[in-house]
Amino acid sequence: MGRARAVIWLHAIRARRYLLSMISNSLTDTLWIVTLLLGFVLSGKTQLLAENLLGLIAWTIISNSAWMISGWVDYLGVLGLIEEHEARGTSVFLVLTGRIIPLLLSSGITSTITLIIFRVAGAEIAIHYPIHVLLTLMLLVVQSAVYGLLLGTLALKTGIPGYMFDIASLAFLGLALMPINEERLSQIIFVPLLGPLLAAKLAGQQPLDSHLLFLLFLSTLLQIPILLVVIKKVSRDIQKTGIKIIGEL
Amino acid sequence: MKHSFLNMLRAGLFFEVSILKNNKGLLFTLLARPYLVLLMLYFLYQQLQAETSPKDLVLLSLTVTGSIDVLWDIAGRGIILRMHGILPYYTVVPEGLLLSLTITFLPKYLLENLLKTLVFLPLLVIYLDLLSALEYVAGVFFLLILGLLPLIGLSMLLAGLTLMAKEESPWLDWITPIILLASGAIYPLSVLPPWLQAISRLLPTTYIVEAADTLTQHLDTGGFFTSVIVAMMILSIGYNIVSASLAKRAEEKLLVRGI
Repeated sequence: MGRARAVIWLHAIRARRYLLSMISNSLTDTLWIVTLLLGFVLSGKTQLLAENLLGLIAWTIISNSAWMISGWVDYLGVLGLIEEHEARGTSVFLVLTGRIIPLLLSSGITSTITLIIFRVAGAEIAIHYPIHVLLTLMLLVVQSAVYGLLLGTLALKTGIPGYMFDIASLAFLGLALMPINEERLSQIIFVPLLGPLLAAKLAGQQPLDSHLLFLLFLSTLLQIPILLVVIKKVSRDIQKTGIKIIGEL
Repeated sequence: MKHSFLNMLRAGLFFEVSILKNNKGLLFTLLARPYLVLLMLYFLYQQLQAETSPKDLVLLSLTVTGSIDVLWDIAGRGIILRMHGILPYYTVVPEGLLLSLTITFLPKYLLENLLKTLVFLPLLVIYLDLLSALEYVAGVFFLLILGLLPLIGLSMLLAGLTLMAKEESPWLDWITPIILLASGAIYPLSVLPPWLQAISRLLPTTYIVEAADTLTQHLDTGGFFTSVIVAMMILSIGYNIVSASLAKRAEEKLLVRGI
Protein backbone atom coordinates (compact mmCIF):
# COMPACT_ATOMS: atom_id res chain seq x y z
CA MET A 1 0.00 0.00 0.00
CA GLY A 2 2.90 2.28 0.86
CA ARG A 3 4.33 1.90 -2.64
CA ALA A 4 0.97 2.63 -4.29
CA ARG A 5 0.64 5.80 -2.21
CA ALA A 6 4.15 6.85 -3.22
CA VAL A 7 3.29 6.31 -6.89
CA ILE A 8 0.11 8.38 -6.56
CA TRP A 9 2.08 11.12 -4.83
CA LEU A 10 4.75 10.98 -7.57
CA HIS A 11 2.27 11.44 -10.41
CA ALA A 12 0.23 14.04 -8.58
CA ILE A 13 3.32 16.15 -7.93
CA ARG A 14 4.58 15.64 -11.50
CA ALA A 15 1.20 16.71 -12.85
CA ARG A 16 1.65 20.01 -11.02
CA ARG A 17 5.29 20.40 -12.04
CA TYR A 18 4.60 19.72 -15.72
CA LEU A 19 1.25 21.50 -15.86
CA LEU A 20 2.25 23.41 -18.99
CA SER A 21 2.97 20.17 -20.89
CA MET A 22 -0.36 18.74 -19.79
CA ILE A 23 -2.37 21.81 -20.75
CA SER A 24 -0.56 21.89 -24.08
CA ASN A 25 -1.40 18.25 -24.68
CA SER A 26 -5.06 18.92 -23.83
CA LEU A 27 -5.14 21.96 -26.07
CA THR A 28 -3.67 19.97 -28.96
CA ASP A 29 -6.30 17.24 -28.49
CA THR A 30 -9.01 19.91 -28.25
CA LEU A 31 -7.91 21.56 -31.48
CA TRP A 32 -7.85 18.25 -33.34
CA ILE A 33 -11.35 17.46 -32.03
CA VAL A 34 -12.64 20.90 -33.00
CA THR A 35 -10.99 20.61 -36.42
CA LEU A 36 -12.57 17.21 -37.09
CA LEU A 37 -15.98 18.27 -35.81
CA LEU A 38 -15.83 21.41 -37.87
CA GLY A 39 -16.26 19.13 -40.87
CA PHE A 40 -19.75 18.20 -39.59
CA VAL A 41 -20.64 21.86 -39.12
CA LEU A 42 -19.32 22.85 -42.54
CA SER A 43 -21.15 20.01 -44.28
CA GLY A 44 -24.41 20.87 -42.48
CA LYS A 45 -24.51 17.63 -40.45
CA THR A 46 -24.81 19.36 -37.09
CA GLN A 47 -27.15 16.63 -35.80
CA LEU A 48 -24.10 14.33 -35.72
CA LEU A 49 -22.08 16.77 -33.65
CA ALA A 50 -22.98 15.56 -30.14
CA GLU A 51 -22.42 11.85 -30.70
CA ASN A 52 -19.15 12.38 -32.55
CA LEU A 53 -17.95 14.78 -29.89
CA LEU A 54 -18.44 12.06 -27.32
CA GLY A 55 -16.67 9.54 -29.57
CA LEU A 56 -13.70 11.86 -29.95
CA ILE A 57 -13.49 12.65 -26.23
CA ALA A 58 -13.47 8.89 -25.61
CA TRP A 59 -10.74 8.62 -28.22
CA THR A 60 -8.50 11.02 -26.27
CA ILE A 61 -8.48 8.45 -23.44
CA ILE A 62 -7.15 5.77 -25.82
CA SER A 63 -4.68 8.09 -27.47
CA ASN A 64 -3.38 9.45 -24.17
CA SER A 65 -2.99 5.96 -22.76
CA ALA A 66 -0.59 5.12 -25.58
CA TRP A 67 1.25 8.39 -25.27
CA MET A 68 1.17 8.97 -21.53
CA ILE A 69 1.64 5.39 -20.34
CA SER A 70 3.69 3.53 -22.95
CA GLY A 71 5.41 6.67 -24.29
CA TRP A 72 6.45 7.56 -20.77
CA VAL A 73 8.46 4.32 -20.50
CA ASP A 74 11.05 6.06 -22.70
CA TYR A 75 11.39 8.75 -20.09
CA LEU A 76 12.01 6.23 -17.34
CA GLY A 77 14.41 4.30 -19.56
CA VAL A 78 16.49 7.32 -20.53
CA LEU A 79 16.81 8.41 -16.93
CA GLY A 80 17.84 4.89 -15.88
CA LEU A 81 14.94 4.73 -13.45
CA ILE A 82 13.57 1.36 -14.59
CA GLU A 83 16.42 -0.57 -13.02
CA GLU A 84 16.37 1.77 -10.04
CA HIS A 85 12.70 0.98 -9.34
CA GLU A 86 13.18 -2.75 -9.86
CA ALA A 87 16.22 -2.79 -7.57
CA ARG A 88 14.19 -1.12 -4.84
CA GLY A 89 11.37 -3.63 -5.20
CA THR A 90 8.86 -1.33 -6.89
CA SER A 91 7.46 -2.71 -10.12
CA VAL A 92 7.96 -0.35 -13.03
CA PHE A 93 4.45 -1.33 -14.13
CA LEU A 94 3.01 0.02 -10.89
CA VAL A 95 4.74 3.32 -11.63
CA LEU A 96 3.30 3.24 -15.15
CA THR A 97 -0.20 2.45 -13.87
CA GLY A 98 -0.02 5.70 -11.91
CA ARG A 99 0.08 7.52 -15.23
CA ILE A 100 -3.70 7.11 -15.23
CA ILE A 101 -3.68 10.27 -13.08
CA PRO A 102 -2.27 12.64 -15.77
CA LEU A 103 -4.25 10.72 -18.40
CA LEU A 104 -7.54 11.49 -16.65
CA LEU A 105 -6.53 15.07 -15.94
CA SER A 106 -5.54 15.66 -19.56
CA SER A 107 -8.71 14.11 -21.01
CA GLY A 108 -10.76 16.00 -18.42
CA ILE A 109 -9.24 19.33 -19.43
CA THR A 110 -9.76 18.47 -23.12
CA SER A 111 -13.43 17.61 -22.58
CA THR A 112 -14.05 20.78 -20.59
CA ILE A 113 -12.38 23.12 -23.09
CA THR A 114 -14.10 21.40 -26.06
CA LEU A 115 -17.53 21.63 -24.46
CA ILE A 116 -16.93 25.31 -23.60
CA ILE A 117 -15.90 26.06 -27.20
CA PHE A 118 -19.01 24.43 -28.66
CA ARG A 119 -21.31 25.99 -26.05
CA VAL A 120 -19.87 29.43 -26.77
CA ALA A 121 -20.31 28.77 -30.50
CA GLY A 122 -23.99 28.06 -29.80
CA ALA A 123 -23.96 24.34 -30.61
CA GLU A 124 -26.54 22.12 -28.94
CA ILE A 125 -24.53 19.40 -27.22
CA ALA A 126 -26.92 17.22 -25.24
CA ILE A 127 -25.78 14.06 -23.46
CA HIS A 128 -28.97 12.16 -22.71
CA TYR A 129 -27.78 9.31 -20.50
CA PRO A 130 -24.81 10.63 -18.48
CA ILE A 131 -24.71 7.66 -16.08
CA HIS A 132 -24.31 5.22 -18.99
CA VAL A 133 -21.72 7.48 -20.58
CA LEU A 134 -19.80 7.64 -17.32
CA LEU A 135 -19.92 3.85 -16.88
CA THR A 136 -18.68 3.16 -20.39
CA LEU A 137 -15.96 5.80 -20.06
CA MET A 138 -14.79 4.21 -16.81
CA LEU A 139 -14.52 0.84 -18.53
CA LEU A 140 -12.71 2.54 -21.39
CA VAL A 141 -10.20 4.01 -18.93
CA VAL A 142 -9.50 0.52 -17.57
CA GLN A 143 -9.13 -0.98 -21.07
CA SER A 144 -6.93 1.95 -22.13
CA ALA A 145 -4.70 1.46 -19.11
CA VAL A 146 -4.37 -2.23 -20.06
CA TYR A 147 -3.56 -1.17 -23.64
CA GLY A 148 -1.00 1.42 -22.51
CA LEU A 149 0.69 -1.04 -20.18
CA LEU A 150 0.82 -3.74 -22.87
CA LEU A 151 2.45 -1.25 -25.24
CA GLY A 152 4.83 -0.32 -22.43
CA THR A 153 5.89 -3.95 -22.05
CA LEU A 154 6.48 -4.07 -25.82
CA ALA A 155 8.61 -0.92 -25.66
CA LEU A 156 10.70 -2.49 -22.91
CA LYS A 157 11.18 -5.70 -24.86
CA THR A 158 11.76 -4.38 -28.38
CA GLY A 159 13.52 -1.06 -28.15
CA ILE A 160 10.85 0.64 -30.26
CA PRO A 161 10.02 3.99 -28.65
CA GLY A 162 6.76 3.60 -26.76
CA TYR A 163 5.09 6.50 -28.53
CA MET A 164 5.61 4.84 -31.91
CA PHE A 165 3.15 2.17 -30.84
CA ASP A 166 0.40 4.76 -30.71
CA ILE A 167 -0.03 4.23 -34.45
CA ALA A 168 -3.11 2.12 -33.70
CA SER A 169 -4.73 5.03 -31.91
CA LEU A 170 -4.72 6.91 -35.22
CA ALA A 171 -6.93 4.21 -36.69
CA PHE A 172 -9.14 4.43 -33.60
CA LEU A 173 -9.58 8.12 -34.37
CA GLY A 174 -11.20 7.19 -37.65
CA LEU A 175 -13.23 4.42 -36.01
CA ALA A 176 -14.46 6.86 -33.37
CA LEU A 177 -16.28 8.66 -36.15
CA MET A 178 -18.11 5.64 -37.52
CA PRO A 179 -21.91 5.52 -37.14
CA ILE A 180 -23.10 3.22 -34.38
CA ASN A 181 -26.34 1.56 -33.35
CA GLU A 182 -27.20 -1.08 -30.77
CA GLU A 183 -27.01 -3.97 -33.24
CA ARG A 184 -23.57 -3.03 -34.49
CA LEU A 185 -22.38 -2.39 -30.95
CA SER A 186 -23.39 -5.90 -29.87
CA GLN A 187 -21.19 -7.28 -32.68
CA ILE A 188 -18.07 -5.41 -31.58
CA ILE A 189 -18.60 -5.22 -27.84
CA PHE A 190 -15.72 -7.63 -27.17
CA VAL A 191 -13.26 -5.75 -29.39
CA PRO A 192 -10.81 -4.13 -26.95
CA LEU A 193 -11.09 -0.33 -26.79
CA LEU A 194 -13.46 -0.10 -29.74
CA GLY A 195 -16.29 -1.67 -27.73
CA PRO A 196 -16.30 0.86 -24.86
CA LEU A 197 -15.43 3.74 -27.21
CA LEU A 198 -18.48 3.20 -29.38
CA ALA A 199 -20.60 2.28 -26.37
CA ALA A 200 -19.79 5.68 -24.85
CA LYS A 201 -20.71 7.31 -28.14
CA LEU A 202 -24.04 5.50 -28.31
CA ALA A 203 -24.79 6.07 -24.61
CA GLY A 204 -24.88 9.80 -25.27
CA GLN A 205 -27.91 9.27 -27.50
CA GLN A 206 -29.83 6.32 -26.05
CA PRO A 207 -29.78 4.13 -22.94
CA LEU A 208 -27.61 1.06 -23.25
CA ASP A 209 -29.09 -2.36 -22.74
CA SER A 210 -27.97 -3.84 -19.40
CA HIS A 211 -26.96 -7.00 -21.25
CA LEU A 212 -24.51 -4.95 -23.36
CA LEU A 213 -23.15 -3.20 -20.29
CA PHE A 214 -22.58 -6.57 -18.63
CA LEU A 215 -20.72 -7.89 -21.71
CA LEU A 216 -18.60 -4.76 -21.76
CA PHE A 217 -17.78 -5.20 -18.08
CA LEU A 218 -16.93 -8.87 -18.71
CA SER A 219 -14.64 -8.11 -21.66
CA THR A 220 -12.82 -5.50 -19.54
CA LEU A 221 -12.44 -7.93 -16.68
CA LEU A 222 -11.03 -10.62 -18.99
CA GLN A 223 -8.26 -8.33 -20.19
CA ILE A 224 -6.79 -7.86 -16.73
CA PRO A 225 -5.47 -11.43 -16.19
CA ILE A 226 -3.94 -11.36 -19.69
CA LEU A 227 -2.12 -8.16 -18.77
CA LEU A 228 -0.94 -9.60 -15.46
CA VAL A 229 0.49 -12.69 -17.20
CA VAL A 230 2.34 -10.51 -19.74
CA ILE A 231 3.67 -8.23 -16.99
CA LYS A 232 4.88 -11.19 -14.97
CA LYS A 233 6.70 -12.64 -17.96
CA VAL A 234 8.28 -9.33 -19.00
CA SER A 235 9.31 -8.54 -15.41
CA ARG A 236 11.06 -11.91 -15.25
CA ASP A 237 12.76 -11.26 -18.60
CA ILE A 238 13.91 -7.81 -17.51
CA GLN A 239 15.54 -9.26 -14.42
CA LYS A 240 17.31 -11.88 -16.54
CA THR A 241 18.29 -10.05 -19.71
CA GLY A 242 17.74 -6.36 -18.96
CA ILE A 243 15.71 -3.87 -20.95
CA LYS A 244 16.04 -3.07 -24.63
CA ILE A 245 14.48 0.38 -24.49
CA ILE A 246 16.46 3.11 -26.24
CA GLY A 247 14.27 6.12 -25.50
CA GLU A 248 14.82 7.82 -28.84
CA LEU A 249 12.36 10.58 -29.70
CA MET B 1 31.36 27.14 -40.94
CA LYS B 2 30.28 25.46 -44.19
CA HIS B 3 32.28 22.40 -43.28
CA SER B 4 30.66 22.30 -39.86
CA PHE B 5 27.14 22.43 -41.36
CA LEU B 6 28.01 19.51 -43.60
CA ASN B 7 29.41 17.54 -40.70
CA MET B 8 26.25 18.10 -38.72
CA LEU B 9 24.12 16.95 -41.65
CA ARG B 10 26.29 13.87 -42.02
CA ALA B 11 26.08 13.16 -38.30
CA GLY B 12 22.29 13.48 -38.40
CA LEU B 13 22.07 11.15 -41.39
CA PHE B 14 24.41 8.61 -39.81
CA PHE B 15 22.39 8.65 -36.60
CA GLU B 16 19.06 8.18 -38.39
CA VAL B 17 20.30 5.41 -40.67
CA SER B 18 21.88 3.59 -37.73
CA ILE B 19 18.71 3.81 -35.68
CA LEU B 20 16.55 2.45 -38.52
CA LYS B 21 19.06 -0.19 -39.55
CA ASN B 22 19.35 -1.58 -36.06
CA ASN B 23 15.71 -1.32 -35.14
CA LYS B 24 13.52 -3.03 -37.72
CA GLY B 25 10.47 -2.74 -35.50
CA LEU B 26 10.87 1.04 -35.46
CA LEU B 27 11.18 1.06 -39.24
CA PHE B 28 8.00 -0.99 -39.53
CA THR B 29 5.99 1.30 -37.23
CA LEU B 30 7.36 4.32 -39.08
CA LEU B 31 6.11 2.93 -42.38
CA ALA B 32 2.77 1.79 -40.97
CA ARG B 33 1.94 5.18 -39.46
CA PRO B 34 1.04 7.04 -42.69
CA TYR B 35 -1.31 4.23 -43.69
CA LEU B 36 -3.12 4.49 -40.37
CA VAL B 37 -3.44 8.26 -40.75
CA LEU B 38 -4.84 7.58 -44.22
CA LEU B 39 -7.33 5.13 -42.71
CA MET B 40 -8.40 7.74 -40.17
CA LEU B 41 -8.93 10.35 -42.89
CA TYR B 42 -10.81 7.84 -45.02
CA PHE B 43 -13.25 7.19 -42.15
CA LEU B 44 -13.63 10.93 -41.55
CA TYR B 45 -14.43 11.79 -45.17
CA GLN B 46 -16.73 8.79 -45.45
CA GLN B 47 -18.73 10.12 -42.51
CA LEU B 48 -18.82 13.54 -44.07
CA GLN B 49 -19.77 11.97 -47.41
CA ALA B 50 -17.10 14.15 -49.00
CA GLU B 51 -15.60 13.07 -52.29
CA THR B 52 -11.92 12.23 -52.06
CA SER B 53 -9.56 10.24 -54.21
CA PRO B 54 -6.79 7.96 -52.89
CA LYS B 55 -4.34 10.58 -54.18
CA ASP B 56 -5.96 13.26 -51.98
CA LEU B 57 -5.79 10.98 -48.98
CA VAL B 58 -2.15 10.07 -49.58
CA LEU B 59 -1.22 13.72 -49.88
CA LEU B 60 -3.16 14.72 -46.81
CA SER B 61 -1.73 11.86 -44.71
CA LEU B 62 1.80 12.90 -45.59
CA THR B 63 1.08 16.58 -44.95
CA VAL B 64 -0.41 15.79 -41.54
CA THR B 65 2.39 13.45 -40.41
CA GLY B 66 5.12 15.68 -41.87
CA SER B 67 3.93 18.88 -40.20
CA ILE B 68 3.37 17.17 -36.85
CA ASP B 69 6.87 15.68 -36.98
CA VAL B 70 8.69 18.89 -37.86
CA LEU B 71 7.15 20.89 -35.04
CA TRP B 72 7.51 18.11 -32.51
CA ASP B 73 10.81 16.42 -33.27
CA ILE B 74 13.28 19.28 -32.90
CA ALA B 75 11.96 20.30 -29.50
CA GLY B 76 11.46 16.64 -28.56
CA ARG B 77 15.03 15.81 -29.41
CA GLY B 78 16.23 18.74 -27.29
CA ILE B 79 14.36 17.30 -24.31
CA ILE B 80 15.68 13.78 -24.78
CA LEU B 81 19.26 15.05 -25.22
CA ARG B 82 18.89 17.01 -22.02
CA MET B 83 17.77 13.84 -20.24
CA HIS B 84 20.80 11.99 -21.62
CA GLY B 85 23.03 14.82 -20.39
CA ILE B 86 24.29 15.50 -23.93
CA LEU B 87 22.60 18.86 -24.46
CA PRO B 88 25.39 20.91 -22.82
CA TYR B 89 27.71 19.73 -25.63
CA TYR B 90 25.36 21.34 -28.15
CA THR B 91 25.79 24.69 -26.42
CA VAL B 92 29.46 24.82 -27.37
CA VAL B 93 28.85 24.16 -31.08
CA PRO B 94 29.80 27.35 -33.01
CA GLU B 95 26.45 27.46 -34.83
CA GLY B 96 24.55 27.51 -31.56
CA LEU B 97 22.29 25.13 -29.74
CA LEU B 98 19.01 25.57 -31.61
CA LEU B 99 20.52 25.72 -35.08
CA SER B 100 22.52 22.56 -34.37
CA LEU B 101 19.39 20.78 -33.16
CA THR B 102 17.61 21.85 -36.35
CA ILE B 103 20.37 20.94 -38.78
CA THR B 104 20.91 17.50 -37.28
CA PHE B 105 17.15 16.96 -37.54
CA LEU B 106 17.01 17.70 -41.30
CA PRO B 107 18.35 14.31 -42.50
CA LYS B 108 15.78 12.58 -40.28
CA TYR B 109 12.98 14.64 -41.80
CA LEU B 110 14.14 14.05 -45.36
CA LEU B 111 14.81 10.33 -44.94
CA GLU B 112 11.63 9.60 -43.01
CA ASN B 113 9.48 11.56 -45.43
CA LEU B 114 11.09 9.85 -48.38
CA LEU B 115 10.29 6.46 -46.83
CA LYS B 116 6.77 7.53 -45.90
CA THR B 117 6.15 8.80 -49.43
CA LEU B 118 7.55 5.67 -51.03
CA VAL B 119 5.46 3.45 -48.82
CA PHE B 120 2.37 4.74 -50.63
CA LEU B 121 3.73 3.70 -54.00
CA PRO B 122 2.05 0.24 -53.96
CA LEU B 123 -1.29 1.87 -53.14
CA LEU B 124 -0.93 4.49 -55.88
CA VAL B 125 0.05 1.87 -58.45
CA ILE B 126 -3.42 0.32 -58.02
CA TYR B 127 -5.02 3.57 -59.26
CA LEU B 128 -2.32 4.94 -61.56
CA ASP B 129 0.25 3.44 -63.87
CA LEU B 130 3.73 3.03 -62.40
CA LEU B 131 5.23 6.06 -64.14
CA SER B 132 2.42 8.39 -63.05
CA ALA B 133 2.61 7.00 -59.52
CA LEU B 134 6.36 7.64 -59.43
CA GLU B 135 5.86 11.16 -60.79
CA TYR B 136 3.21 11.83 -58.16
CA VAL B 137 5.39 10.48 -55.34
CA ALA B 138 8.31 12.64 -56.51
CA GLY B 139 6.05 15.71 -56.68
CA VAL B 140 4.66 15.12 -53.20
CA PHE B 141 8.14 14.60 -51.77
CA PHE B 142 9.29 17.87 -53.35
CA LEU B 143 6.32 19.66 -51.78
CA LEU B 144 7.09 18.12 -48.39
CA ILE B 145 10.62 19.52 -48.60
CA LEU B 146 9.24 22.92 -49.59
CA GLY B 147 6.70 22.69 -46.78
CA LEU B 148 9.51 22.23 -44.29
CA LEU B 149 11.15 25.57 -45.12
CA PRO B 150 8.65 27.92 -43.46
CA LEU B 151 8.43 25.68 -40.41
CA ILE B 152 12.17 25.55 -39.68
CA GLY B 153 12.36 28.88 -37.83
CA LEU B 154 9.13 28.13 -36.00
CA SER B 155 10.46 24.74 -34.91
CA MET B 156 13.66 26.35 -33.61
CA LEU B 157 11.62 28.86 -31.64
CA LEU B 158 9.41 26.09 -30.28
CA ALA B 159 12.48 24.10 -29.23
CA GLY B 160 13.97 27.15 -27.49
CA LEU B 161 10.76 27.93 -25.62
CA THR B 162 10.29 24.27 -24.64
CA LEU B 163 13.81 24.04 -23.25
CA MET B 164 13.37 27.35 -21.44
CA ALA B 165 10.16 26.16 -19.84
CA LYS B 166 11.94 23.03 -18.56
CA GLU B 167 8.96 20.91 -19.55
CA GLU B 168 8.93 17.19 -20.32
CA SER B 169 7.32 17.55 -23.76
CA PRO B 170 7.04 20.29 -26.41
CA TRP B 171 4.34 22.63 -25.12
CA LEU B 172 3.47 24.56 -28.27
CA ASP B 173 2.58 21.69 -30.58
CA TRP B 174 -1.07 22.83 -30.66
CA ILE B 175 0.12 25.19 -33.40
CA THR B 176 0.10 22.22 -35.79
CA PRO B 177 -3.68 21.67 -36.06
CA ILE B 178 -4.20 25.44 -36.35
CA ILE B 179 -1.70 25.68 -39.22
CA LEU B 180 -3.19 22.65 -40.98
CA LEU B 181 -6.73 23.97 -40.64
CA ALA B 182 -5.92 27.52 -41.69
CA SER B 183 -3.83 26.32 -44.64
CA GLY B 184 -6.76 24.47 -46.14
CA ALA B 185 -4.99 21.14 -45.70
CA ILE B 186 -7.96 19.46 -44.05
CA TYR B 187 -10.95 21.33 -45.51
CA PRO B 188 -11.00 23.48 -48.66
CA LEU B 189 -10.35 27.15 -47.92
CA SER B 190 -13.60 28.12 -49.63
CA VAL B 191 -15.68 26.59 -46.82
CA LEU B 192 -13.77 28.34 -44.04
CA PRO B 193 -14.96 31.66 -42.54
CA PRO B 194 -13.68 34.79 -44.36
CA TRP B 195 -11.44 35.86 -41.44
CA LEU B 196 -9.72 32.47 -41.49
CA GLN B 197 -9.32 32.70 -45.26
CA ALA B 198 -7.62 36.07 -44.79
CA ILE B 199 -5.19 34.57 -42.25
CA SER B 200 -4.52 31.64 -44.55
CA ARG B 201 -3.06 34.02 -47.18
CA LEU B 202 -0.30 34.89 -44.70
CA LEU B 203 0.65 31.27 -44.11
CA PRO B 204 3.29 29.85 -46.45
CA THR B 205 1.81 26.39 -45.99
CA THR B 206 -1.38 27.54 -47.76
CA TYR B 207 0.60 27.86 -50.98
CA ILE B 208 2.04 24.39 -50.53
CA VAL B 209 -1.46 22.97 -50.12
CA GLU B 210 -2.62 24.83 -53.24
CA ALA B 211 0.33 23.50 -55.20
CA ALA B 212 -0.44 20.02 -53.92
CA ASP B 213 -4.08 20.32 -55.01
CA THR B 214 -2.93 21.31 -58.46
CA LEU B 215 -0.61 18.34 -58.54
CA THR B 216 -3.48 16.03 -57.60
CA GLN B 217 -5.79 17.45 -60.24
CA HIS B 218 -3.25 17.17 -63.07
CA LEU B 219 -3.80 20.76 -64.18
CA ASP B 220 -1.55 22.51 -66.67
CA THR B 221 0.49 24.34 -64.14
CA GLY B 222 3.91 25.49 -65.19
CA GLY B 223 3.32 29.20 -64.46
CA PHE B 224 1.11 28.52 -61.49
CA PHE B 225 3.73 26.39 -59.77
CA THR B 226 6.39 29.01 -60.31
CA SER B 227 4.24 31.77 -58.81
CA VAL B 228 3.24 29.56 -55.87
CA ILE B 229 6.83 28.67 -55.15
CA VAL B 230 7.94 32.30 -55.38
CA ALA B 231 5.15 33.44 -53.01
CA MET B 232 5.96 30.62 -50.65
CA MET B 233 9.66 31.37 -50.66
CA ILE B 234 9.12 35.08 -49.94
CA LEU B 235 6.86 34.27 -47.00
CA SER B 236 9.21 31.53 -45.80
CA ILE B 237 12.16 33.91 -45.76
CA GLY B 238 10.11 36.52 -43.88
CA TYR B 239 8.87 33.95 -41.36
CA ASN B 240 12.27 32.44 -40.81
CA ILE B 241 13.99 35.79 -40.30
CA VAL B 242 11.45 36.75 -37.63
CA SER B 243 11.24 33.37 -35.90
CA ALA B 244 15.00 32.71 -36.09
CA SER B 245 15.76 36.06 -34.46
CA LEU B 246 13.23 35.27 -31.73
CA ALA B 247 14.79 31.83 -31.37
CA LYS B 248 18.20 33.44 -31.02
CA ARG B 249 16.92 35.60 -28.19
CA ALA B 250 15.35 32.54 -26.59
CA GLU B 251 18.69 30.74 -26.89
CA GLU B 252 20.58 33.60 -25.24
CA LYS B 253 18.15 33.56 -22.32
CA LEU B 254 18.37 29.78 -22.17
CA LEU B 255 22.14 29.85 -21.91
CA VAL B 256 22.02 32.48 -19.18
CA ARG B 257 19.42 30.53 -17.19
CA GLY B 258 21.03 27.15 -17.83
CA ILE B 259 19.66 24.19 -19.69
